[in-house]
Amino acid sequence: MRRVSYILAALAVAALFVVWIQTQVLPTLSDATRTVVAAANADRTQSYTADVRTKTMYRGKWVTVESKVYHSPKVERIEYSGGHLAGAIVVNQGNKSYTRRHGSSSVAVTELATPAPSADRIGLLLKNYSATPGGRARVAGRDVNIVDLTPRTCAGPSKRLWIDTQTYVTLRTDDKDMEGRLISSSEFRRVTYGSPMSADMPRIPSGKQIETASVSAGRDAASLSRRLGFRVTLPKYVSRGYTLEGYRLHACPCRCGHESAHIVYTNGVDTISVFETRKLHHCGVTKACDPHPGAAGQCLMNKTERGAVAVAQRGAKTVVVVGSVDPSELMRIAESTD
Amino acid sequence: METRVDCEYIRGLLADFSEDNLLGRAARRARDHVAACEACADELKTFEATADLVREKGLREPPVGLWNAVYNRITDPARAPSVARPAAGLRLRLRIGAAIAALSLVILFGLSYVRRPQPPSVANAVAAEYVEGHAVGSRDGLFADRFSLTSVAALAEAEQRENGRL
Amino acid sequence: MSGGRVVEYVDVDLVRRTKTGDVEAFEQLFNRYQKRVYNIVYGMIGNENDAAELAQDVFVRVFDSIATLRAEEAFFTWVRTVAINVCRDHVRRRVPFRVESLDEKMSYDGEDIIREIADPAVGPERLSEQKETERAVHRAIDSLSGEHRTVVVLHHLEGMDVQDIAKALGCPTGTVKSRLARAREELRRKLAGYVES
Repeated sequence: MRRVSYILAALAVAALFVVWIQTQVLPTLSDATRTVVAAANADRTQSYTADVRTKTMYRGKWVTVESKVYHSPKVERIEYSGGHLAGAIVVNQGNKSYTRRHGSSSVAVTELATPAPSADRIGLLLKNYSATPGGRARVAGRDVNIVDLTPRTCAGPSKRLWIDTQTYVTLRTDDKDMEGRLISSSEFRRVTYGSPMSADMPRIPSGKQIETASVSAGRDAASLSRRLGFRVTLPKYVSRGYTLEGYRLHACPCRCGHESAHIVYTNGVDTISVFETRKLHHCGVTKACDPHPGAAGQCLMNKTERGAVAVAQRGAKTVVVVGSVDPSELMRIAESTD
Repeated sequence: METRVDCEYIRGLLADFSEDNLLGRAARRARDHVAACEACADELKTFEATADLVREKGLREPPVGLWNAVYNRITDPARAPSVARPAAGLRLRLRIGAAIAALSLVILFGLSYVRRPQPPSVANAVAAEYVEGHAVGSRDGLFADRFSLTSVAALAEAEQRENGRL
Repeated sequence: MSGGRVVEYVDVDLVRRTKTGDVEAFEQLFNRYQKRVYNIVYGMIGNENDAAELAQDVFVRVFDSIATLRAEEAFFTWVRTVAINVCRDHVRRRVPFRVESLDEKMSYDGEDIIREIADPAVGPERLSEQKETERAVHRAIDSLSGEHRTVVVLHHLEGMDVQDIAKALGCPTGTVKSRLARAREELRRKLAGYVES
């Protein structure tokens, strides 16, 4: 009898909590923010088949790829049919992503840091970005709400999202760099919800599996230091709003065996990557011979639309920082790493 | 007295009548008939109602992303804006001049390439490897454009290979 | 809706700013007129993909040559001319295919009348949904021949008068009127279920 009372009391507390959330917390969020929160979780509940067209700016040129997506809450298969990725297949299942290129006999495996959007990440997003409504439109024959995600404090990359008013699936994403220039756009050209995936659709592509990047609970600075043979340390400085998300082991996809520590920082939407390696590596595929970017202590930059790359020699190791924030920030991060 | 034959004949002209496309006797005959015949007047109203419906519902929404496409084209630094075309004689001279200039550039570039082979673009190749890692590592972020990031990863990998061949 | 109705004074300022290379001002002009331009282009071309590409071409051409525009208060009239010319160029470049003209005159009872057109459409069910009506109107416009669709869009949607259309298309006003009449006849048949008599 007492146990029943406890259960009832617990249920009552839970119900009160839900009511409190609904009456006190949610009403304080704007409609745009609520849409964003719902959209962050939409892919965990929706199944759909879609045709997607993606335009990406890379080294000053627009590159377009087409893909067909079979998505269910547990597994997703993306078949690329156009552009330089034609014939490539990506399967995202559990916390792993498998990629096989057309004509390749091997499959690149990466382990995801956060297979599902955590409450922490959504909290970070809301802390660092403001969501403002951008009106209504139609994408792939569906009504969508447009929401702009812009950084609250300092200059940084921003996003415009087209979110299905019914399912909250993001049907189009435009990414802009910190100067507001469009760098990529992915748009669902056609979407069918609830479409069943055939049994063989989510099958992981066949071929020898090569782990190119992984992360797990066991990966931390100490275990990576043991594996790589040098001390992996966190930078003393990171840009405002970014917090440590986790450590990965980054392996060069060319199978040359070179590995780096990959430390990931996020502000909820954008990421900064800090790679630490014994010496600056240039993988076997490229046949380059000069491992040093410059004189010791000299920080070199290289800019792409997806972010700048800062390279600094720090003692016996090379630190490479990649991100979309101001390049001076990346240099500062690289130089703050012992 | 309006007859059934009159009505059939006039109804065949109503579309033109509604667009003021009848002349002379036909126009007069149609006007007089419609004024006297309620059924044909009603028929004429359906032409006007059709035009109203088309005006009210005929407009389409332009595709999403039109501005982005226009913006990218007008701000593309590689694009030369179209300007008023010069006269034919001048055009010919300009073409010859441009051809000579282009040929000179090709020869100069070729000579410099033969004399002093460029070293591999180490910075680009190194950057490409880590841009690839960064793109792959960012794919699972909130609202990350996984399609574009996969594309970037593949482009960066291709760039590594391309630089390696230099 | 047409350029002759209300002079868009705001346009003048935006046009002047665009002439100095102000892309944001041009974006505002784009936002004001993109729907009209897209509909003109769609009407003249008749398919979404080409229409989207050509609508881009129109705005790019407008941006590139806006310095040559003297009558700034007539900005949209000029844009419309650019749109029509871009589409006509496109149509000329396309592989030609024969379309039987529906504008030929026939004789009946000693007077010139217009030839009868067979209507292949099945009468639509009467549907109350606004969206469905809109779709039906779009389908009906789509089903018109290119020549007929063009005059319908320019006259009924864009509000151009017959003389201006004739001038823009380089054909006699009688031809424009005739095309409008045939098009309206066809639309009336196809939209009979949606039109209240």
